[in-house]
Order: sequence, then C-alpha cells, then structure tokens
Amino acid sequence: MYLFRKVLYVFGGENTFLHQNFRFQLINAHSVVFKPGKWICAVLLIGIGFFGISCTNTTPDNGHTTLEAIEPQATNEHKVPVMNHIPVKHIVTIKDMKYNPAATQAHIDDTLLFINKDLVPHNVADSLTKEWLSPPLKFGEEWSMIVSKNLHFYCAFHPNMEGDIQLETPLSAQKRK
Amino acid sequence: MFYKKILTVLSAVLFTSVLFAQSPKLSDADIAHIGVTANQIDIDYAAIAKKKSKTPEVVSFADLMSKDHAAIIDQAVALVTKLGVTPTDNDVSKSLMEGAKAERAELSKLKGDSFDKAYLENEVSYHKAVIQTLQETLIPSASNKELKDFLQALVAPFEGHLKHAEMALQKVQ
Repeated sequence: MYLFRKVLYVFGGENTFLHQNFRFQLINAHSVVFKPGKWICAVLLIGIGFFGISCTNTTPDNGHTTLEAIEPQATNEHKVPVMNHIPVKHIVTIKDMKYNPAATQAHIDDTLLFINKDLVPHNVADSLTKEWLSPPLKFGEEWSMIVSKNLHFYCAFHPNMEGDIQLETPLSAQKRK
Repeated sequence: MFYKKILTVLSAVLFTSVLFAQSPKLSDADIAHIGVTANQIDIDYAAIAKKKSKTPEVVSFADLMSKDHAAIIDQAVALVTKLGVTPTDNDVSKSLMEGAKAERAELSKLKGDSFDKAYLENEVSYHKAVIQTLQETLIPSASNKELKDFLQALVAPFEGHLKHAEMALQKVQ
C-alpha cells in the first residue's frame, strides 16, 4: 500500500490531496495511519463484485429457452428459399402390389399419406437409413409422415415393392415448367 | 424325389384339368367358393411349413402366405356378403381339396432341406396353377362385375407370391 501511495505521489500533482498527505506521512513515518488505502480497496472490491455479477447474468444465446432445442424442425436449415411454399399433402395409394405413384416430387414439411387399397396387408419402411417404419396397414388403413429429406421406401412384407420421394429444388421446378 | 415331383405336377394338372372338364358353366356362387378354397389350401400348406421347417426364410415365407391369404379370404367374404352371394360347394372345390390333402400327406413325411425344397416347389406350381385358372376360367365365367374385378385384383398378389417363392426356392437349392 505504501508503494501504491508512493506511485500516486510521484504521478500526482504538487497540490493534490495525496501529495500533501503522503508528504505529511513521509515526515511522520512512524505514525502512518492506513486510512486512505482502505477506501481505495473498498471501491476496488465493489467494482469487482459488480463485474462478477454482470458476468453470471449474461446468457449464451439471445434468450432461447431449453425447450426450443428439442424441436429441430423449428430451425431453418434450408439452403433453398422456401418462403413461398405452403406444405401440401401427397397421397400414395397402395394397390396391386405397387405404390402409386412410385416416384413423387415433394418439398420439406410436405405430408405423405399412404393409403392401402390392396387385398393384402402392406407397410412402408425406410430403405436408406432404416430410421422409420409404418405399422402394418390392412385394407383401408392409412399412415402419414412429414417429408424432411429424400426418401426411398419399400414394403417389408413384399420387398419387390419400392418407391421414392425426391425433394424438389427451384431448378427442378423450373425444368418441369 | 422324382415321385414327389410327379405328385406336385399331378396336383397342378388335376387342378386345371378338372376345371376344363367341367361342362356346366360355373356360377358366381361356385366361383366364390373356389376362390375361398384356393386361398384356404395355401394357408393349410403354410401351417405345415411353419411347424416343420427349420429355415428362417421358409418360415417367414409361410408366415407371409398365412397372413396374405387370410386377408384375401376376409375381403372375399366381405364382397360376397355385400353381393348377397352364398359360396356353394362344387366338384371343382372338392377335387382341389382332395389334391391338397394328398400333397399335405406327402409334405408331412419329409424333413429338413428336402421338406423346404418340396414345400417351395409346391408353392411355385400351385400359385402358377391358380393364376392360370383365374385368367382362363374364373374371371371369364364370373357374371357379376364386382366379383370379376375382385378376381382380376387377385392376380397381382398371386404373381407377387410366385416371384417370392421362386426366389426362395433358388436360395434353398
């Protein structure tokens, strides 16, 4: 503390309070009372305290709650502009041991509705990544899913039955026109 | 082995020949009964395979036959009930049942790989025979339009099963 005051004495002006005080205390070295230093310490401590509190208050994101992290559909990972596309429903009918249509063009967030109109039970199974599988569908039963990527599917009971969904890009849409 | 093959071919020939030998025209009631019988016969074959076979592919094929043909029977019964047609027993159905009974007796005597082979060979020839009968006799003879369409719709699953059976047989041989 003595060194600190000495520095202030050196850099302070001739008539500053510290200058006067320090000179006085230099003369009365034996009776130095450690008073001004404690105020500087107090200010420093309070300053550190405020700094620490403000650090813990800041959130890493701009205010998102943890619930939003669970729903990946909320985030927009589209590389193509889809602002003008309203999600539609595509119907795939299962009849005569075939998916009809076998190939469909769709957008992300479109709905796929499979309806079994065949005499025997069928299902719809993901052949690319094996991530999803419909329940067995009897005659008249239906099942739907949301399109999130290119799909290739087949019937697990009758593996020769296949179909696919291809994501439409603006370029492919233009080509179709 | 040769004897078994003869029996399989004979039962298929019996199936088709009895139908062609039939002089009076088949009524819708007869056709409905034949349709249900033909499906039931395959379910009975599948029941033996599910009990006897140790090969997973054969058991799963038999399971598929049981489920698909049972579903077809349900659809057939729903249709004839709606149409007010009562399936009537007839000579064709009777001879089909007799042929199937003989085939079942033969299959029951076999074990292991020889059973698998005989079962799948029978499935191939049986499905071929049914498809031929549907196309050449039953569909042309049906009077009611809805029944005709239903019989026409039967061809696709039977053809699907035939391909499946042929592929399974290739693996077993």
